[in-house]
Amino acid sequence: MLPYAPWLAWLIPLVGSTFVPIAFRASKRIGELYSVLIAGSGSTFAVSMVTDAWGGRSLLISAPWIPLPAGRSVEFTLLIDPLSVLMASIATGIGTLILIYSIGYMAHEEGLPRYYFFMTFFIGGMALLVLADNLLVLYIGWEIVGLCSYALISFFYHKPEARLAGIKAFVTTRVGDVLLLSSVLITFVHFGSFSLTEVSRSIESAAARGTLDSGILTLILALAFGGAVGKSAQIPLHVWLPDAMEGPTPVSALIHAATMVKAGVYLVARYSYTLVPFEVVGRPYLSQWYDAVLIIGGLTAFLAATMGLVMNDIKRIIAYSTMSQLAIMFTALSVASSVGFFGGVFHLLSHSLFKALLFLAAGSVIHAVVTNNVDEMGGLRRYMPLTFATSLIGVLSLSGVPPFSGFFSKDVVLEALISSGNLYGILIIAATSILTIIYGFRWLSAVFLGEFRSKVVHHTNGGHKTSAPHESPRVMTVPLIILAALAAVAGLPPIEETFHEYMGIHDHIKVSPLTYATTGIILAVGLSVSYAFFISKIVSPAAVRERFSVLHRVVVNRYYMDHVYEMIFVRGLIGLSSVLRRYVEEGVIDRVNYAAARWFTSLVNVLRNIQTGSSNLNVSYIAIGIIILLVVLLLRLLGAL
Amino acid sequence: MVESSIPGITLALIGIPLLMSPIAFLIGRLVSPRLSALFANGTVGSQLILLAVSWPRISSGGAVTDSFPWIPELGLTFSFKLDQLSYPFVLVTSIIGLVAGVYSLRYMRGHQRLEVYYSLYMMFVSGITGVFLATNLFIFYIFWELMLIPSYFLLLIWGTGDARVISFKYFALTHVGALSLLAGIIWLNALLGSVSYDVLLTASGQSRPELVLAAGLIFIGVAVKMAVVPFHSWLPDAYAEAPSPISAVMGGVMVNTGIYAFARILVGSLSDAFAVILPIPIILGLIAIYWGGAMALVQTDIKRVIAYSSVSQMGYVVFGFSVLHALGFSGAVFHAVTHGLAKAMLFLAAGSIIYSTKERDVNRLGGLTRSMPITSITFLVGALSIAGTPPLAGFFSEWLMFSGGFASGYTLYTIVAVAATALTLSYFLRAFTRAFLGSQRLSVSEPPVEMTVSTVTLVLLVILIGVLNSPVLSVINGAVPPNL
Repeated sequence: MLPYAPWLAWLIPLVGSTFVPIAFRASKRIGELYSVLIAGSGSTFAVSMVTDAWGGRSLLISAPWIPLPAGRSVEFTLLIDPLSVLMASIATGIGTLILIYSIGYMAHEEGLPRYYFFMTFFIGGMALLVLADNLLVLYIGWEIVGLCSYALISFFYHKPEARLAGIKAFVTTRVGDVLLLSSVLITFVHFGSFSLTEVSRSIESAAARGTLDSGILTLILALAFGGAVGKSAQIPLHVWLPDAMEGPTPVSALIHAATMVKAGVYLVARYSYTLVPFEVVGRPYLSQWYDAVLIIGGLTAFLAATMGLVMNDIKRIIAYSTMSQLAIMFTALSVASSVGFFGGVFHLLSHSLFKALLFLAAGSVIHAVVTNNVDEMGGLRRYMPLTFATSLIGVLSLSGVPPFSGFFSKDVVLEALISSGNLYGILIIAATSILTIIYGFRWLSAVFLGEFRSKVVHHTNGGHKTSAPHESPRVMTVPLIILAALAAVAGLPPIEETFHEYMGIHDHIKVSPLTYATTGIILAVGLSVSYAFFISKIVSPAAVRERFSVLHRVVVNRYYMDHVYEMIFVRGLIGLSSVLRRYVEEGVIDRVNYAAARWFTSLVNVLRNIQTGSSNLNVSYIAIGIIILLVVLLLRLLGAL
Repeated sequence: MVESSIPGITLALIGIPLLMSPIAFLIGRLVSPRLSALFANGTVGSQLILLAVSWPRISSGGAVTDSFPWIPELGLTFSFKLDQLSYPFVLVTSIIGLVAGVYSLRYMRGHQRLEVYYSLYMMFVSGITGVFLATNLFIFYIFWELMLIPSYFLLLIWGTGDARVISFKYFALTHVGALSLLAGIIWLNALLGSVSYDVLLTASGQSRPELVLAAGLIFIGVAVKMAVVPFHSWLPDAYAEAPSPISAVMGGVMVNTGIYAFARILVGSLSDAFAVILPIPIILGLIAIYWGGAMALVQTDIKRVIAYSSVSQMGYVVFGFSVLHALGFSGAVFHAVTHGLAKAMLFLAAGSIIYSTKERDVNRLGGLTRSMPITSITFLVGALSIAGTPPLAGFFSEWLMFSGGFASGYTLYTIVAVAATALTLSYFLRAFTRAFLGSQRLSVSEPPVEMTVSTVTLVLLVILIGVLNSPVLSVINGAVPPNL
């Protein structure tokens, strides 16, 4: 590794970000280049650690940090292992690409210093989160990325939707964060350390002695999973992610597709890999926890896919797809085997590539047609051939069509589920995969195929108007091409082999014929339905919508979950507080307090009568006082005598 | 423990602002109010130099004392002591005292009788400092009352709204608390024969009913000062209607006297007697956290949002102390530092808004971030720190308190307390969004540099203490009572 790489990989972007506004003061170009530079050097340091982690090796780095009472202290520890280096490389590497893309996409926006500050700050925070060994450090990174997510979702703060979406995201994920913080602190109090590796050592030795308390472990893990549910937008804390699409598209690509929403998956992966290694503390010890992960994952995967099927916003469709894919990773991890772990992480990697790609492609489209509504798009393949080609690779990869990366990673996930023999998991992931293909092609056909449906005149270039959308500038298409190339090849067997070796998984991963058959069925059903609906148009989607209009309405309204939350947690809470304020705070507490104050006043007014201000009277009071004192003294003297 | 060889530091800490206060008044009358303002700030600032001089001794575990014979019959000496517990409190007092004083230079300009304002201000700061440096409960109580008088006049003369009623309510209600405290002190004197802190320490292992009564009385007195629900009703009015620099001193420093008394007397000396009335204080703390949060959510006056947030935050402190664990104690004392700085910052930011817009209703503000970027960053950083967002200072004090809760076995109570940080975040974001985001309705500009320099100083401190918490925390850890 490069010198001090574990520190510099996150410190450069995190601290460097504070100078972004200063760089922008020099000039816009310098500010943009500076931002790319700090993210890029972060990624150089992150990638340089690959050799140190190769083959599952790990390295612990620590520095003194927080002093505690009774001479104890908390160390600031970082963990370098395949998982952390992979995640840090994704965060900083994809982050750099997206910053380059932003130069083109955000060129005409106001508030760029703010944008680049939070983007680079985010990259640093994300790298810190994944490199942390100390859970408190992890939590700090966790909150930094949440803060940046809030600030960037609300970037267009003059739009009320953007402001509300920011608050919704911040507060909803904070509910999960509360659970995570509780989990971290209970871990600390119970095991006496924040260090993942240290806690894991005591868990392993307890497991070896057979004195493992699976109750407290389940509590810790369940609370931490609550944090993961919030961050990775799983049911029931998923409502913020679709609304988060109010942010600029590069933000959605980086934060809400490639990195931050992966933090939850990372956390579960990290816990089952390091804290309670599945090879030592197996699924039977913690079956309740793993079952919860499986159930929530399965439910979210399926429901999110159904919602992705009916949305009309080019970004929201992909956002629901993100939720669904993240849920697939959770189900893979819930198997708690080396195949499941590898599948989850491998799918995380390939998803980061193809989902960032899809978002950037969507951004390129929005940049050209200035709308988010897919009903006003169509036929764009003629105007934007590069964007179309890269989107196609993205959709094929998402759908799991060979030989694109998604095919291979999803295969491993399916293999893990089939080998575990859990029918719920297999069926729900198979159904989700079919839906994934359908919504993927629906998105592709609505945007790029058919005829251009917008009548709006879009661009005004120096006075003369051009009515046709056109391809985005090179600064945007080059990152698209790079991501498309990566998404296309990342799953190929030689690369998969290398990745397997890098992760240091001992078991050989062999995909069974049953899995191939299942994948074949999924692809056959999904692709033929897509072909019938969107390519040959044998079946009209509108007719299906008519037929199932009630179901359609329920799904379009997101199963009414957002409405219910709004009623209870927003209007309900504010309403309740208002009532309490009116009838208890002002009606009782204030009134009692004022009564006390009045009572005090009247007491003072009574006492005031003896304060006449007449010096004769005052002198006589003093005289009386002296006499009383003298009498007392005299009596005491007499008593003493 | 090493005692001080540098004489007079503690006397100077209290005495300089107190004795110079009439001089500031005379300068204002005879020369110019502006000079008296500068003089007052210099005086308060001199505290920082004295604190810097005592830092080596404090950080190495020692104390700085001044002692004179006083009432030997009661075992009392006229003495003051700056130790590891009082140091962070005095430090925050001087920092906020200076920052709010500098802020007042511009904020109060154009008001009547500024020389009176500044001399009262100096007395206020001196009174608060005295509470922290006292070595027995009599002197403690004298300063406890002494700080009340200047603050009452500051509120009465320069307050907004119905200042007469509000200042009297403040005076009367805090007095009821002070009476309870006084009763507790007298009762303790009767029980122990002396109320010097050294004697109090001997009672730490005892939980006889008489001591429990004393602890209960003192708890009520402290709770009124900290505005724990249901004794909080003076606070929102007083904080909201005082001039903003005074709100900053009240919300950031004066409330710390309650925290200090909790630490020194209840947890530091009477912990076993106090433990008998548990879990009532813990439950009161939790109620306060949620009550303050719920009320802050439905306020539209920006200063009232901040004021109710104090009610909520003091709930955390009561919680942190009441779990009776070293981590909780350390966190609660550290929270006095982090909350004090952030709260002063928020009140000064609100003051900047009021100064620039003459408006304090968040529904009538909006879009201020464009024209007042520094103020909006100040507000956001303060709010996020109080909502426990790392790496800002507030996070570190909060997790310590929560760890204390878990470590003492109050798992469920603690999760309830942690959950309230989501509520904190909600009410602050609601206020921030309304005041600073959205479309701009008022054409305003950032306040003058005397005001922004004060707020930016506090922003930097809140970030710095968060990132480099070790010096402050090691001093506080040295103050953790051995019985915890």
